Amino acid sequence: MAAIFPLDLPFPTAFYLLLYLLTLIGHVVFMNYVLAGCCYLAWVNLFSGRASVPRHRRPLADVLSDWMPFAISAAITMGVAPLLFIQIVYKERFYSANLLLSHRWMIMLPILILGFYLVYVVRSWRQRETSPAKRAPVVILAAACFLFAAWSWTENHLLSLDRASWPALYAEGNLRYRTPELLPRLLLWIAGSFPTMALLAAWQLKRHQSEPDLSRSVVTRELPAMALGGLILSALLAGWYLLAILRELNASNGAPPAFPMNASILLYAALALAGLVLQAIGWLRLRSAIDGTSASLVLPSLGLLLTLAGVTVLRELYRLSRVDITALHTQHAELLRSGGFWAFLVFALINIAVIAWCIHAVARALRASRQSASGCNRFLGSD
Amino acid sequence: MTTSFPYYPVNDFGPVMKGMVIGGLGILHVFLAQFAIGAGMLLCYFQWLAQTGRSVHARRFLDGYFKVLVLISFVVGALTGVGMWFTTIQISPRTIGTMVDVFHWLWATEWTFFCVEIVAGYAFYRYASILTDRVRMALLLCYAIASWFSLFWINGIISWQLTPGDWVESRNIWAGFFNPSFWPSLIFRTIVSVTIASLVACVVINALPNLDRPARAELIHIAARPLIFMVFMPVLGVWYLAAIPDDSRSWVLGGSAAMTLFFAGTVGASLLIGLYALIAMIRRRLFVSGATATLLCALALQATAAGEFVREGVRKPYSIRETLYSNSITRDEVEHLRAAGSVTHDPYPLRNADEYPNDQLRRGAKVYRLQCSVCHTIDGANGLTHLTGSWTLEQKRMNIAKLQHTKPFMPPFAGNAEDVESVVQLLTWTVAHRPARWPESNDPQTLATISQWLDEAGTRPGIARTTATGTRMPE
Repeated sequence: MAAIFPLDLPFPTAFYLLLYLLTLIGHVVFMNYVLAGCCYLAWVNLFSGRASVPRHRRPLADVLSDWMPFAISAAITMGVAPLLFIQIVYKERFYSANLLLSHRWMIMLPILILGFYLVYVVRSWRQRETSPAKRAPVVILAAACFLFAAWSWTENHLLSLDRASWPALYAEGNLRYRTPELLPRLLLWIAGSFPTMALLAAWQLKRHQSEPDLSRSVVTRELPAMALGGLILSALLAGWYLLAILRELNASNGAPPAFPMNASILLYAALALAGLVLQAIGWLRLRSAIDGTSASLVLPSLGLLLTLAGVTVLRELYRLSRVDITALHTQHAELLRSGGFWAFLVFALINIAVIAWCIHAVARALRASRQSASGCNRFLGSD
Repeated sequence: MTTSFPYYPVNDFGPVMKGMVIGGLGILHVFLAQFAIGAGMLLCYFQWLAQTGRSVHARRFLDGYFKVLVLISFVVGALTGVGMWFTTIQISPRTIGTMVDVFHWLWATEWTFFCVEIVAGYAFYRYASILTDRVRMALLLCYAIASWFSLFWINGIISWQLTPGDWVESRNIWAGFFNPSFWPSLIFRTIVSVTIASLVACVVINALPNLDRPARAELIHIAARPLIFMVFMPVLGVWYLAAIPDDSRSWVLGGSAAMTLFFAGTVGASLLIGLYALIAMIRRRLFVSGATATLLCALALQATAAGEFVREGVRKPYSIRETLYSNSITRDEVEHLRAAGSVTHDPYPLRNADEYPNDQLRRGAKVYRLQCSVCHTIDGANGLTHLTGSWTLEQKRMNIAKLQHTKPFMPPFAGNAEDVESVVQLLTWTVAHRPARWPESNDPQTLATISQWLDEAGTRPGIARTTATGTRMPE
């Protein structure tokens, strides 16, 4: 029986690939929050609704606006590690794609800076009323900035897989890589970001102090609808993307699409599907829950982790089917001997402990602050 | 001898030198990053003053200053950091690739400190008002230590480029990391960091609302105290100069007009800041207005820019000393490309091939693209036509064939006689305003002479090799 990924690879290559994938998942979690969160904020600021509390003033929009700057920082910081490891694993492929897209790729940086500052502007509006005419363009522009980044990364990734097109693309000086895979892949990512954002927001709203009834309603109604919608749409878009891949793979010989199956693809597809099912069950149960307790969020959380793991590996398996890195195995083995790993491990453990302490210290202070506030309320008879 | 060469697509930046592109972004990032590092330390100091009751206004400053730190450094500082990676890939993927290969675990270590910075920083930003002084101080210390450590790690990697030390022979990562210029540059940058943070603090203090002049003066006097460390900068500068290779040092001290000018610029700007700090702030002689504080920050930016330009420039002809030339060709590959031709196997066609009237000029354009375009333009910034404008045809051929001896900060020409002649023809054609017709030059005697010059020049650099202890070695 053929070995399952990553056991089918030499240890050094498998090791670096696993590190890349694990750190990529960390980046994807925050990135999905940013992408879906900004799209949601754009939506609710364009269509505030006619309810007594407009959508952009409700707990979900409030929590997203409040935490978006941190989420962007976290997405950028968590993106450093996969950016490092992808250079080790795929080097020439990654670099060449960057170079071929040139200024079109580099412009992503000022656009991300703009998006980041716009999000701070949106955050500053949380405590005061601003006109829709002022609000909507800002949030739409912020969302557009992050959508542009998503498009750029998707294009960069797909270009890195298509070495045959590089000389011609370079000669044209086009700075855009066109492929039938681009749109379905990008849309799949965008749709798939909503279940992640919904889950993170659900955990946040569980602790939302102001407007507990509204928060409960969001957690048990709005977020499950968003997550389930995202899951269904993702499944459909995944089908479309698969067809696009198969057409590309078989375009040269005119044969009907044939799915290249192996044990690794089966296993990780099953993992992703299992995660999808767990998420769906979890969100459906949440809809009928009395309140959005922590326990009811465990199942969709577990499902999301499985889906992210499965999809991330599938993504990589597709890349490995198009990019032969056999020639790099020796180089990966040499790099593993380059030194500094133990320093990384020691400091990583120390810094994880420091981060945990920071979070614990703040959580303790928040608890003390809430207890003090409720104590004051009881004293003043406001309960 | 190497038998293959990795070709990457090379982009054109018009009349702008690629070094300017990476330099511009790099200077901005270094300035903001060093501000963030110094700010961490300054904030710890102000927190201590606040919690011990030594300054009634310290807490107000703290909260305002931290907002500036978050809004500037956490956004632009962070993104320009990632931008540096992207830009370096655009300019020299082999340089960044080699650095990643050697130091990826230490870069990963730096990344763990970034994570601490973000968590501690945002925790303070969001929750400082409900935290006890003890926890506030602990968070600020976490942030300050983490940001300093991010400097620690990147400083080792960057300084290795110029002074790789024993790593060249041993390939030991720690020998490369703790290289000869590591400590002087680390301490120097630490002092620069607190200097920048102090100067920005003076701007912020002037911008804080509802503070009377005596309160501002008191805060400015406190914020200026770390500037006293600037007195160590001359000593550290001398130590750094002593640690770098002889040829690099000679360019800074008169050997290269550009390097010497920028070096004088950074020294002059630093001196002005230091003198003003001594007289105006530390001795409380003058009140530092917002405009003055902003001007001082601009001077600090200029000093940073000039200093970084010098640091990058004195690496020539290398981007990684003894390992990779500025044009991303290794010392061993020069020999291979001399034999095979530098663009024989280049898979990337010219974008504007139709503009050239013959194959020789097209070849020249490809050779220029591969070997020269990283530092030069044809007729823009640092343009080859300007630099070779006074040379005859014969001088062009010889000077390019013997490039590393024409100018010791140039790498050896990594191509054969046909490559040399094609570049010479390209430059001559450009100076002649790019006529639609141009004869090819394939005189066998000329090519034989060029080959002879290439052999005489050899494939070794024009500068002497230096060991970790500074001993010059014969090539």
